[in-house]
Amino acid sequence: MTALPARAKPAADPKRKKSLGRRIWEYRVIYLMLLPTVLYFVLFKCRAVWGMKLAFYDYRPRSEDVFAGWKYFQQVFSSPTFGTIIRNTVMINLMRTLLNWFFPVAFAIMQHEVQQKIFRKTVQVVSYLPHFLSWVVIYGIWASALQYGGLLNNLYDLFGAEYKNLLLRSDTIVGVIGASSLWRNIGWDSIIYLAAILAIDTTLYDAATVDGASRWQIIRHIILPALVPTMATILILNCGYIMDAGVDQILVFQNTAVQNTIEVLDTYVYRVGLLQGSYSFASAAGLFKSAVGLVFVVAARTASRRLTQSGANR
Amino acid sequence: MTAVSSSRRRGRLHRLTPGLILIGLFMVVLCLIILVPLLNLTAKSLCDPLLVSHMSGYQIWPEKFSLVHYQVILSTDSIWTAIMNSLIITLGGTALAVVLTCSSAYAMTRPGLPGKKLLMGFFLAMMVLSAPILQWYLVMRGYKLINNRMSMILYGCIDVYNMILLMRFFEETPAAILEAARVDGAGDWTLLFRIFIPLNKVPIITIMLFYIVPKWNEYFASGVFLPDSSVRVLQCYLREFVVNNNSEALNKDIYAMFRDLNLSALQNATIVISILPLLCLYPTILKYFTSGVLAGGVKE
Repeated sequence: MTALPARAKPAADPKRKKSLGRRIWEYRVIYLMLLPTVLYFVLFKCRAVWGMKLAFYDYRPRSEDVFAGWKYFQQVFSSPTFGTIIRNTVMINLMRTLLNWFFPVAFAIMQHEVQQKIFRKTVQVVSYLPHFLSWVVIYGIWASALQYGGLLNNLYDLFGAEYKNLLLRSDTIVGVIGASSLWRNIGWDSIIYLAAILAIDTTLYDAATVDGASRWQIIRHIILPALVPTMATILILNCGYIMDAGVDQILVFQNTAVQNTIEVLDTYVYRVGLLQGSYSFASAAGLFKSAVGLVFVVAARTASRRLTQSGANR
Repeated sequence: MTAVSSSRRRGRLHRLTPGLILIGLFMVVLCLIILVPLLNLTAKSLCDPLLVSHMSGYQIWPEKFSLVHYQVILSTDSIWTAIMNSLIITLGGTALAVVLTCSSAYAMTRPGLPGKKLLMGFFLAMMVLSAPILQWYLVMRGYKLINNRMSMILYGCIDVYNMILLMRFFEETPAAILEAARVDGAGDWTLLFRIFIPLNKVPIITIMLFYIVPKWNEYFASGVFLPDSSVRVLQCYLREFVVNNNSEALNKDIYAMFRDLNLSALQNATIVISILPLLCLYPTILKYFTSGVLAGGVKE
């Protein structure tokens, strides 16, 4: 249908001189292929993003929205809970980012040390599994283990300690959030580090062994330095999501006893906007979150690109 | 591969050192922490209702085997509705997403496409920008898609990350094959369906799984767009029943028939039912996901 310019002889190609209109016409089938995707993004995603302008308007269900300026932003920032919510969001995120950064690296190094292939494979298959469970299911599993008479209660009894359900205590729920996130991700997140370790030139190990290096010295001086670029990239990219506190996880762990302790921006916007119907107020909070999040994501991506480039030049 | 593993073996000690024992111990404990709660939950769901409360939190076999909890759960209409809705949304959404991802990845890898940079910029912007669920709700309501399964098929339909992943593979398709096909008069559709898709089965199955798993596990947006019980998906049913402890999800008549049923065991049975499809897919997932994650570098 369309004649693509032959790649082999670009210099002698007369089609190069064709007008832009002709070239676009030649690629009409290609544009047709792109059309549904572009249309989807314009009709849904762009509309949703553009819809955030509601933050500057009074919402009127039956008629045109009325421009309200910065009114709703002032309301959001002067609301007494907003500071706490920002703090919760950032704290929970930092905790999860650091946990899901350190432990997978350690776990990957451990997997590499284990020689028994069957044992290693079994551990991998088991540890990857939680990554594929939904947060509702993970909550079900954890609630069943943490309830009275559950696994943890049995362990407490073993040591003669008094047990209180950790899901209902505001001083332990943040720990449960961190632990369940680690439970879900430790195996899966270690894959990328394991790949980086397997990419290390094995002659380095041989040379180190000949020189009498211990396993610990090999880890310390060969494996860890080789992991630094991957570790830095992932940490930076995850810091880009500082405002995304994982609404899927938080929402299932929220109950009346701990709601305020783990209220984060996403759940707040959801609650105020969709459940209480304050569309404009929630839009202002949401727009604030999206804007700050966007700055962090773009900064993180730029930083990680810089990093990988300088790593390649080294 | 054999060369790598043999030299790796040469590089390390064969003895069991204290360090290795510690590592082994850590791994065993980790596996237990993952498996014991899961198996305990399954065992309780398979146990006779009267004996469930006698089971400890680490018992991984049922005290007395019985399928009664599964019989009760599966005899309600509501769970079958939920399963059907989840299947329609997961399979429909994945099919649409894979077709769109393949065709746009093909289009974006055509050499000399006018406006390619502009289009790529647009897609990258679509990847980075995000809107709160409230705005999505208003958009869906504007199209009258609330309580319509189409809303969840369309929500988050194309993942630009997957498109970029596929583009990397499409770019590596040997030019000689393309030239030959061109000479034979193949158009773009023929090229896409006869050459690119068959040649890149592995990455396409990988992105298919990348779409299937989150769609099956999604509950937040589904709960917002599909609040009606006739279009409720399985994860929302589960949330209502397990997280909110709302047993209205069950048929009251049946519940009355089995007075001695154990509510938590019923919840456990529902959880097991919801993860069974994933467990069936798990070997395939492991095979493709791992390579996909590595091919894509970092997947957030």
